[in-house]
Amino acid sequence: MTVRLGSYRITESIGAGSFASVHRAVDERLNDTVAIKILAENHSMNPEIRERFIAEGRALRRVGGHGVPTVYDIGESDRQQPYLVLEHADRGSLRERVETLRADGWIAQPHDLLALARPLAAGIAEVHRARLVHRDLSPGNLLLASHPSPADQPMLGSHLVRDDERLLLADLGMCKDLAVNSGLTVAGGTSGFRPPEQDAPGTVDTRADIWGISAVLSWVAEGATLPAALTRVLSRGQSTRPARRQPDARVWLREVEDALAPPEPAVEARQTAPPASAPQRRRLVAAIATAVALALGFVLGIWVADEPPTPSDAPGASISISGPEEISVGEHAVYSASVSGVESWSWSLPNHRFVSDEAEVTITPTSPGTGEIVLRSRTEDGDDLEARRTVRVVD
Amino acid sequence: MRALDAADARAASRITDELVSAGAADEALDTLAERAPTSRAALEMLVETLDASGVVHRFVGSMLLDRDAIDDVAQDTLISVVQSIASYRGGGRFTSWVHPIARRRVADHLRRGRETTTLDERLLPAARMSSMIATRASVQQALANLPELYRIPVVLRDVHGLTYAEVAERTGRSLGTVKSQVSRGRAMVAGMLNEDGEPT
Repeated sequence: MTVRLGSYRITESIGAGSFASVHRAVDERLNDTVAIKILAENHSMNPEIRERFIAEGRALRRVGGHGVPTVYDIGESDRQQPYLVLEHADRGSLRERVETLRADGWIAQPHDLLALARPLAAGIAEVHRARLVHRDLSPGNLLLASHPSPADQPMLGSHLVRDDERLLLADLGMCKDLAVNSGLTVAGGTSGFRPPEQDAPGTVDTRADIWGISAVLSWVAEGATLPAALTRVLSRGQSTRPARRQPDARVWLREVEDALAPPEPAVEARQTAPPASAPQRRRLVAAIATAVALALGFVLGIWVADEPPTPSDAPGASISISGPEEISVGEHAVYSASVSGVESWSWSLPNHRFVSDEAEVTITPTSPGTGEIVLRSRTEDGDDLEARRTVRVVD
Repeated sequence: MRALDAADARAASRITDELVSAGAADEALDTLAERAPTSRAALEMLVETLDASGVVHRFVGSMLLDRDAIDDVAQDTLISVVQSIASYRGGGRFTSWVHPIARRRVADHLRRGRETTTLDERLLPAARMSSMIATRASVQQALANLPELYRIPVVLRDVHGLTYAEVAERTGRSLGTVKSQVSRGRAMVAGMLNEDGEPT
């Protein structure tokens, strides 16, 4: 093993696979720690293996983004071994992290699963946007790197993927370029984390990675009591038939978040996490709101079948409500009526109060939940008008 | 195809560029490759189109990193393609047939890099053609049949032993153009000779 590679001084071996080895090194020009992945000497003589190795560097560069290691350089040793100079993931792999935590009796909590699912879905979405399929997602090639958390990221306080860490999808050596290939491919992948369609040559598309991220999350969740909804989401992701899986990473994450968001797991998450920051609360609320909206839609759908809802406008007349959709317990919230073409109107408030002809009403909720404000009026022609505003009240 | 019949190298070269920029290189290559074993004009145009399409450089560049090595091996590949064109049976994409040839030339290059002697140097297609063009009387005939566009740079490079830079200066062409023309010219000469270096 040479200790120098171009202007990189190799300091320590940090991993070895069947084709390549990874070393920690110092970039002496920029005085920074990097990781160098170098193809084994015997394989460097094989054009096909070289091609795959070089393609990995180009794929990583093509993906760019935060979810994969940054490629700084590609070079060749004096023994004709191609090597990639990569961002050093200083916090090790997800496998190491989970094994360390489990040794201390750790079991994944919902906030841990969220802390992993979010960057995992974001990373795989980046890979898919570059028209690539990773095909080899496993705890061993998901890496962790220290990184100050961006301001817009929720603090989850997880020990699995910490708030100051980035998750990196490494090892794109197996990845498939959808733009170049028909999707037809040879068998491959890490045993246990390999979607069934990769057991034999066949057609592989981005849904292979939906299987992969579901398998990784299931592995991390081993031993935990999962909400039934999450179990359903993960088994959908690991359906044998790709068509039954979530179509993409965004949908997958939404389902995972919805499954983890309802009251009990969210409360449980906050017990071990630092106080939830505003963005997280908004996200949880948004998930609940989605469920509420779905339920409302369902009820509304049945109701609509009987008679059409009262419109909020008619020729020459209209009414509407403006004001916040979400308020806190104890907060004084003001709602105003915008009316045109009508002389008189009435407010129906959540506390069963009725107010006539006021331009504004103020409500002060005393407990969390969902309420509705209704504004009603009647046109000169005798047509009823109605405007509704659903208000969510949070703690 | 009129230009092909007239064997007008410049017109053919223009058509080739148009085909490549129109994204029709693959189809053109398939058609040309089927005629190449029996038509010298088709073979020459095949060499032009294959080189202009950049597909050989792309194949080689997916396996090698050094720019000069890629140029050398791409040239070797071009010559190998011409020399084995008679075994092309059609059917699939011509470029799928070219890919394993490129891979073999890359393997040759890597082996050569690993060996300490330069023994194999002469066996590499480009070096061998260059040497044959310079020394064999039988090759002079083939050279005379080469379109002027390619004959002049090949003669300057291989017969008179000028560097690429000198050839560029002498012909008033860019260095890149001259390298490409020598590469294509050598491949075309290779196509006019049999395995023993005798005219076909």
